[in-house]
Amino acid sequence: MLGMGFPALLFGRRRKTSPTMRAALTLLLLLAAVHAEHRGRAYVRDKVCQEFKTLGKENFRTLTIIANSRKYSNATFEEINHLVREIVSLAETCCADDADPSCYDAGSSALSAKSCSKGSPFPTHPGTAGCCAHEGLERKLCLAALRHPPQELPRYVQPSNEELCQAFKTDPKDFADRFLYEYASSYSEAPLPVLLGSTRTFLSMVSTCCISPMPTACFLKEKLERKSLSLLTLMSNRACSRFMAYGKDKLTFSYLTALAQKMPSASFEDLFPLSEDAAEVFSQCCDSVAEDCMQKKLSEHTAKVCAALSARDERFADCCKGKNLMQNYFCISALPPALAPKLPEAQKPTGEQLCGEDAAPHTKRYLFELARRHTNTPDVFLSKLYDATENVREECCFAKDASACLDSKCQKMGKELPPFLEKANRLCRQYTELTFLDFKKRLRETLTQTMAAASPELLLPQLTPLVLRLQGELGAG
Amino acid sequence: EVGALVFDIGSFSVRAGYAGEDCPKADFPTTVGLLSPEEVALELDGDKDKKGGKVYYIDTNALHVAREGMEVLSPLKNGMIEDWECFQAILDHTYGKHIKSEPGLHPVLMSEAPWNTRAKREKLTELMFEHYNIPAFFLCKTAVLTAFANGRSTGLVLDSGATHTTAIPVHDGYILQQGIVKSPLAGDFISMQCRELFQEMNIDIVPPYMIAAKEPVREGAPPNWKKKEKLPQVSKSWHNFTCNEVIQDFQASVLQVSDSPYDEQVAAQMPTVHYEMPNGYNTDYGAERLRIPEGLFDPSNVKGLSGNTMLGVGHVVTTSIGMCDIDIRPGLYGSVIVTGGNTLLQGFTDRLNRELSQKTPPSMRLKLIASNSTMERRFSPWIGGSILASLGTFQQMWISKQEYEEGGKQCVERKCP
Repeated sequence: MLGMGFPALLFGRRRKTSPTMRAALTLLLLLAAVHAEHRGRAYVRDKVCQEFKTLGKENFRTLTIIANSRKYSNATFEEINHLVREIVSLAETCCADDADPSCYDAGSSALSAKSCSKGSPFPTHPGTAGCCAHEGLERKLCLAALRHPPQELPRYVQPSNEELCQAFKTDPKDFADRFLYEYASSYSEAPLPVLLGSTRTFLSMVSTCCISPMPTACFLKEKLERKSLSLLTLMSNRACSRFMAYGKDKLTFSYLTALAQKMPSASFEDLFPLSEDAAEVFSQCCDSVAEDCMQKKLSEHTAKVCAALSARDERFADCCKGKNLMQNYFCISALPPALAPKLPEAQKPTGEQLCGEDAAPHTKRYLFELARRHTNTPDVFLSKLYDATENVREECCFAKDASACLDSKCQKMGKELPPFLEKANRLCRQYTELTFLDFKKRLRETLTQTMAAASPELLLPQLTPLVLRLQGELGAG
Repeated sequence: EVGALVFDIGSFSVRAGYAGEDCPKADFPTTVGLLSPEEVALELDGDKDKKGGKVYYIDTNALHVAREGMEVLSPLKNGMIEDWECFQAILDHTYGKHIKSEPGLHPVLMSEAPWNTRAKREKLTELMFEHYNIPAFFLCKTAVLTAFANGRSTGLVLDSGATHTTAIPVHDGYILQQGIVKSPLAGDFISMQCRELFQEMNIDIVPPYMIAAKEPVREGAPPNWKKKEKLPQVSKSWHNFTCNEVIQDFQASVLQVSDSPYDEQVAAQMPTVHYEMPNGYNTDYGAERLRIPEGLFDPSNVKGLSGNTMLGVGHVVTTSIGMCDIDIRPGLYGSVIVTGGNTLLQGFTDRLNRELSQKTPPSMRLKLIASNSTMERRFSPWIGGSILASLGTFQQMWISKQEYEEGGKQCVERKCP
C-alpha cells in the first residue's frame, strides 16, 4: 500500500502515535494561534517549518485536515480543502531553505486577507467580519481563534465494507481526505490525539482489508481491534462537548446528578468525589495534545467508579465485569435512570450556607438530593435549576437585605419548583417505562383532561409530531 | 490443528458446524420428539437418542415419523435454555451424527439470547467444560454475531423469528441492554392468524403424515383423499407440530406484506395466488394474502390482541433507537440489519423501509441492510460466529480450560461480557 504513495503514518500499521506526530500536535495548536500571541511571528514560522520538515508534506497535510475539520465542523469539504491547500502551500513555499524570511509572514497575511475578502472560499463564520475590522497580527489571531460550535449530532455514518472499498479503490487520496473531514467534523470535540489515532487505524483498516482475500473477516478483526478507540472517540466527543458547553464546575454538577439518577441509593459523599474526578479528567484531557491523556485518565476514572460502586449496585457491577474499561465506561453511561427510592423531603440549604464562603457544595448537595428523588428529570432541566440557584446567590448574597431577598426567591421557587420537577419527571419516566404507543396514549389522555373541550380526533394530529420531538429531545438529556 | 465449532441454537432450528466454513454442517429443528415413559419400554427403533432414561427423537427425519405417544418439546423458552436434559440430548446428537468427532477436541463458540441470565450462562459454561470436556469456550450474543455476519460492528439488529420480533442496538460489538425492545408479533403470530383464516374458510389442515393418497380436484372443490390406515395414536403436540409445518409452508408461499398500509380496495386488486394443501384442496387467495401479515406492521386492527398496545415492526425499531443516547442514533438508523426467518416474508423489507423512512428524523440517514440470500438471513448468527471464531486474534478471547479451572464458571462474565 505504501508503494501507492500513501503517507506511511496515515495508513501505517503502527498503533501508537509517533514522536513526530506528537510534536506536530503541538504545532497545530500553535497554528490555532491563541498561544502564539506573546511569542511573536518568527516563533510561529520556525515552529511550523520545523514540523513541516520533520513530518513531511503528506502527514502535515493530514493533520491540517483533521485540525481544521474539527475547528470548522460546519464547513463543507470544499471549504476545508481550500484552506488546507493554502496552509500546506504556505508551509511548502516558505519553509524551503532558500525562502525569503518575510515569505511566511507575507503569505499568512495574504491568507487572512483572502479570508476577509468577499466570496472567500474558506469556511465561513459569523465572527469573520468582526475580525476583519482589525489589521495585521491582531486580525490573524482573531481569525485563528474562530471556532464553529460542534455538530448537533455526529453526521458520519460508516458505509458498508463494500462501499468503503469501492470508494477507496476509485480514488484512495480523495477517499482518505473526505473520511478525515467527515469524521473529524463529526467528532470535533474529541481530543485531537484521539481523533488522530481513531482515523489512522480506520484508514489502515481500509487499506489492509480492501486488498485482503477475505475482506469480511479482515474488517471484523480490525474493527474489534479498534473498538476501544472507536468508543473513546464517541465518549470523549460526548463528554468534551459537555465540558465546552458547561465548564468544569457545571460539568461536575451534571455528572453528579447523572450518577445520582443511575444510583439513587448512593450518598453525596460517594458520588461527589467521582464527579469531581470525571470533571478533572475532561478539563485536563479535552484540550490536551498528550498522546494518551484521555485514554489513560478515562480508564483510571472508570476503574475508580467501578471500585466505588460495583459492590453496591448490580447494574454497575454488570457494567464493570468486562476487561475492556472503555466498554465498561460506555455501559455505565448508557445505564437508564433507576427507580427513585422513597426518601424524606430534601433539606433546603439555609441562607448562611448559600451565601457562605463555601457555598458551592451546598447548592450541589441540594440539587443532588432533588436528582435522586426525581431520577427521570433530564439533565437540561437540572442544569437550568443549577443556573437559577447560582443566579439567586449572585443576586441575593450581596443585596442589602440578603435574607429577605433569599426568602422571597425561595418562596417563589418553593411554589414553582415541585410541580415543574414533578411534571418533567413524570413525563420522562413514562417515556422510559412505557412503550411508545402507551406513552402516546397516556399523553393524549393527559392533554384531553387539560383541554377538555378538544376531542381526541382533534388532538391526535398535533400529538404525533410532539411525541416525535420529545423522543429526540428527552433522549438528548 | 483442530477446528473450532460454532453452535447457534435458536427457537426454531439448531445450526452447527466448523468455524471458517461458509455454512453450518447441521441445520435441524430445535423441536424434538420425546417418548412418553410408558412407551419407552416397548420401543425398539434405532433412530433415537437416549438421555437420562428418556428417549429423544432428534433431527428432521426422526421427528417426522408418526409414533405412538411421542410428544414434541423444545429445550428453549424465550430463547434461553430451560430443559437442560433435552439440550444435552441435542448436543450429543450433533456431536455424534453431524460433527462425528470427540467434543474434547474442539473449542466451542455458542450463541446466546441477548437477555440470557447470569445463572444460565454459568451453568452452560460448566456443562461444556465439565461434561463435554471442551478445550475452550466462548459465548456471544446472537445480535452481535448477526451484525458481524453483515460486516458491521455497529447497527440496530432487527430480528424477527418464530416467537419474537426484537430490536437490539449494537455499538462496536457491544449490546446496549436498555435499548432492547421485544414484541410477540412474529412468525408464530402469523401462523395463528393463518389458522384462524382456515377456520373461517372451513379449510381443514391435514398434515402429510395422515395422507395415503389424494386425487386432483378442481379449484374450491372438497378434497378427495384417503387417510392412512393403521396410524399410531399420535400425541396432540406432535399433530399440532405437523399442522404448523403445513401453515408455515402456506405462509412462505402465499403471504405478502403490503408495501403501504393495508387498504381493502387495493388488496382486492392484488393478483391472486393459487395454493394447494397437502390433501389436494386448492384455491386462490387474494386480499387475505396482504391482510394477514399486515398485523406485523399495524397491530391496531388485529382481532384478539389485548388492548392493542403492541408495537408494530416499525415502532419496535424506532422505540429501540429512541432509548439510546442521541449521539449514537445516526449510526443505528444508518445500519438497520434485518434478520430472522420471518423477515423472509415477501415484501417485509420494502414495507419496513417505507415505514422507517417516514419515521427517521430528517437529520439522520436511514439504511436497511438485508441480505438477499435466504441462507444468509436464516444463518446469519452462525455465519458471524464462524467468522469470529476463525480470526487469529480471537484466540485471546476464548475461555481456556485452564482459565476455567482457575477462575471457575464465573469467568464467563469477565471474558464474555
